[in-house]
Amino acid sequence: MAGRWQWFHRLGSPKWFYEKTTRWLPWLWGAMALFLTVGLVWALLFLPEDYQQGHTSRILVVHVAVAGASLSFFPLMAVAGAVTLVWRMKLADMVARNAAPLGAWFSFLTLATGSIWGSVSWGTWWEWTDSRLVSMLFQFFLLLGVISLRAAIENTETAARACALLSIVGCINVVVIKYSVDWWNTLHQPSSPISMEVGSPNGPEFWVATVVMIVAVYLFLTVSLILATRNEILQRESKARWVRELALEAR
Amino acid sequence: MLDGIQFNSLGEFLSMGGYAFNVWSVYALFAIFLIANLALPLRKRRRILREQQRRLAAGAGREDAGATDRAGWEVSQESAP
Repeated sequence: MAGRWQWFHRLGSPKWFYEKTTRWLPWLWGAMALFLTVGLVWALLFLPEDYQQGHTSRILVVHVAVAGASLSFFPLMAVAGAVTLVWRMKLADMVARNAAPLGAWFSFLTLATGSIWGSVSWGTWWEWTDSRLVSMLFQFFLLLGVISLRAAIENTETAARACALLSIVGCINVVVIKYSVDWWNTLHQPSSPISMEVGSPNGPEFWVATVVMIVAVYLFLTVSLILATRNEILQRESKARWVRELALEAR
Repeated sequence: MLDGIQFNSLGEFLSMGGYAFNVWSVYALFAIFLIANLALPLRKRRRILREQQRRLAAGAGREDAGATDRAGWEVSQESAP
């Protein structure tokens, strides 16, 4: 147990996580605010009109960033789930548990923004025969499924194991979402190849703005997930001495 | 730098070339999404700490710890070995 494994057990300690994130959070908040401001100002004011889409290309900066990040939830929950199953690390399960509702938000926003963009560019809000749209809707329902499964099982550890398994299986759907546009030729276009030439379709003025927004969205995901996990630590460890002391210090 | 701004007036900016509804509804949803997922956990944190303080003030600190196994998982009384 001692020696080389000590770091691993420290990593699994909710108290360790809480103290580390107390130090990280100000930096993460700052970086998130910076990238979000640059991304929003760029997308809303400086992004040139697309030669086909006009001003609706401003929607895609948000849509692509949120959609891309929404695909990270099942892999994240699967890795956390595997750690829960193999090492019974409670912290990993707390992260997985709080990732599910956030992932549902991400999936919903992906569907909504895509739909609002499609209503102009495709002339339709929804298309049941499109594999990308339907597989993304399926991810949204799968995440609601993980949340309900957790709520339905009373024993905390049994619930954690069941959710871990469902998360690992759910990763298959992420692969389907990712390659749906290549495997089946339907309405949703594959991602556009990036160009280094300013003024060309998907030139740097488009994709660099999108990259900035992707970084901003991932930072937001991290901050929100850390905040939710810290809340759960405070609740589940409420009898621990360090949590009591923290509550007394807080005003 | 400001030459790069794509609009000549506030009205032009707000109308988004006729797609005001589409562009602004997406950015409004995005704002709600960001604010909700940051503000709600922060509000919950304040509530948790207030409840803790109340329980500690009420002397709940003496109650014995809930049943947990070696890895710290909560064990309900029925399923405890």
